[in-house]
Amino acid sequence: MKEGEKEEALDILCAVLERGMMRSKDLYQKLIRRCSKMSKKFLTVILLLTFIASMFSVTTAYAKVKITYWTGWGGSELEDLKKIIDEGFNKKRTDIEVETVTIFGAYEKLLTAIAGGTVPDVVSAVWDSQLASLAARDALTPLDSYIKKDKIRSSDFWPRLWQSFQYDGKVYALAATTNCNFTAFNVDMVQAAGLNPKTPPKNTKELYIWAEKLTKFDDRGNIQILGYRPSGISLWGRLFGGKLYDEKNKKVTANDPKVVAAMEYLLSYNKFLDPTKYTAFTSALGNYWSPENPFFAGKMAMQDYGEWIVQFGKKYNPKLKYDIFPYVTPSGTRNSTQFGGSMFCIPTGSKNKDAAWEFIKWLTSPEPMKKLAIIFTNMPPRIAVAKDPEVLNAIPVLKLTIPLMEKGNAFTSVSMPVWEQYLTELGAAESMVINGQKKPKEALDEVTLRMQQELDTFFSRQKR
Amino acid sequence: MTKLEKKELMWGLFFTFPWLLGLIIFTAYPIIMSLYYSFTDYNIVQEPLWIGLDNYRRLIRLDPIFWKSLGNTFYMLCLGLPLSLIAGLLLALLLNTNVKGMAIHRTIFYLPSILPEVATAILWVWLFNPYYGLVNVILSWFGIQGPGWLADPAWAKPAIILMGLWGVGGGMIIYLASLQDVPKELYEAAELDGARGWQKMVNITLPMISPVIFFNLIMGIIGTFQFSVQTFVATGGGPAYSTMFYGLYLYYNAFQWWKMGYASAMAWILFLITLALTILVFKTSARWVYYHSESR
Repeated sequence: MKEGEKEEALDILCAVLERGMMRSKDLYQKLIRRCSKMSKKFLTVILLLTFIASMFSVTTAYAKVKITYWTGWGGSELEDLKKIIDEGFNKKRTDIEVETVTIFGAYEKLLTAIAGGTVPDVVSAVWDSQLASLAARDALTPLDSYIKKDKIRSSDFWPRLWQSFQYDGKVYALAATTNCNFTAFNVDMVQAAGLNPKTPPKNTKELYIWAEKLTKFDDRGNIQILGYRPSGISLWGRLFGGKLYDEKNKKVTANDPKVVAAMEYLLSYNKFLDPTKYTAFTSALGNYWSPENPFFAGKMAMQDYGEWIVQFGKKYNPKLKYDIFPYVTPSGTRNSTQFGGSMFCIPTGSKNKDAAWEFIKWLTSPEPMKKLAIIFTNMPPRIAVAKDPEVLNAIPVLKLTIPLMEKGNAFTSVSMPVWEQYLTELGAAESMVINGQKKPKEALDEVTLRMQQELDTFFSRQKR
Repeated sequence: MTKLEKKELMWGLFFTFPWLLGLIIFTAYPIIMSLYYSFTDYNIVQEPLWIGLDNYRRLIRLDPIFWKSLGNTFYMLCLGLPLSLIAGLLLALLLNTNVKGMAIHRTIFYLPSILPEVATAILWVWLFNPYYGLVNVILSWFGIQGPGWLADPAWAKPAIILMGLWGVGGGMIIYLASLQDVPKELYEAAELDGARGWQKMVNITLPMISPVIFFNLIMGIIGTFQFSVQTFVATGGGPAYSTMFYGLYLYYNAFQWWKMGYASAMAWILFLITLALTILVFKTSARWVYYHSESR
């Protein structure tokens, strides 16, 4: 047997050792082909060694840490995500393997998993609205030590977004994607109504005028095309400069005069939009996430969107000409947006926290983030990635939303442990006001009282 | 106990033990734990904290939505339940006549009650659609402009009742079985005495099937208090809490707002109310329920 042959055989053996038994079928065949030329003695030794080696490689293959990642994405987005993870992480890392599982549409599973003590290692089916609730109840692992160790700089992310990763001074999540919202309008409808699409509304008064002019009724007084109806007091209250929660003093402030003013403003739309006719109209509209999307089907002249409007336009109605403008305030001095999205967290009960962090760190790093942004049409949480020409080119609306994240009023979920219930209560109060069952101040006073009780109870019992 | 009895008991326990085990683990244990949790602040993630009767005190004294949901549920109990009992009975009476193709009719009317609740709820959301929904389209043929149904706080509950009436097939089948059990000779005797349709109905049919009415009433009370799936799908409790029923509010507290202890307290109040109502119905039953075995 020649020296070269021996070396080659050893090389192959080493490769078997390194890559593990499962993936080395072709190597075995190569080995056997080579071996046929070799001496019997050497062959025996080699085979024996291979056998021992494969025993080792089986154990090393098992030593690869397997972590479970629960995602909220489903459908084609899930497939894209899995591809990115497989190619960028699973194939490259020899120490960690991520198994991606979707809980799309069954988000309560996280709660049952926590209750049963069978949590995933990483979860991104946690929305910004839930983060404080989960963190306040010790369901999530603080990431501060990891962030410090790996020198993740908060200044690389949008400042308001970084704040939303935190609860009570600790960071509990990072994001790989986010969304900024704005209002879109149908250019042709605006022109037909005698308005100038070059100068969209700058303040709440102008918004009202546009909404009224763009709303069309049939001869029986039913709404045919809806101009716009602002909704969501949790957003509008803050657009009006109000505060919903005083975090320092732990006081619920839903009846802040400015929030009340916002509620009056939402109510003022009743002047031309009868609430019964309005609800009749909206409940007849097609699904937002479908080709019957009311804006792209021409049933609404204006509607709120995020960056995904680019995808919607391409998919549902490429001919429709639309333009966008930021959320307006009464004074019109500051442009505003609302943002949010899924948060990548490590549940408290995870058994592989270090590996889980490695995965989160990788997925929120610039390269995968850029891929995700382009595929999902999202706002990248890292400033530099958002300003990457390739990303800007793929998602033109970022030109509007980037300045909003930088300099405008950017609103997201309020960091309080009872925020989800607060949101439900605010929604019900708004609905009662619009339907004439309660006055704005009265409804918001009640919410304040109730939520203050909830909050006080929560904090008094957290000292357990 | 004789030796044989002991042996039989052993075997009896042996054969029922899988079922007993299931009952203890999956029913008895959760029930007992929920009683314990109802006296605690329990958010699933952290250990429960003993707070005595505080959950109960808060529910009764401080929670307007609790009362609202209870009110909504009683609305269903007072309006929806009698309507569905009557509708089921009328349907059963109709299907008890000798019409051609009766088996098919019965199947058709029974079908809705075996369809999944979520699917039927979504279907009804479309039927109640104020503009294009079949309900308002049909009303418009008669010149009536239908209401906003599920979108209108004043009409949402009646809409939910209508949804429920569609599924009376389950009660109907039980009525039907009992109607066919009424002895023919009773009718024949009454006819000889000159009794007419309505008289036969009041004096023979209703008393004879009263045990079944009683059964449907009790099951209806229990079902009404647990009612939640359809509204969760169709309205989520809105608009303006008009369809926030007790079961739904309980669900929100337990699974959306991290208040499992509070929700457990709600469950036990629900149990007490249901128990009280059931006892009340049982007490009155002596006056209006007749059993075949009793002397006539």
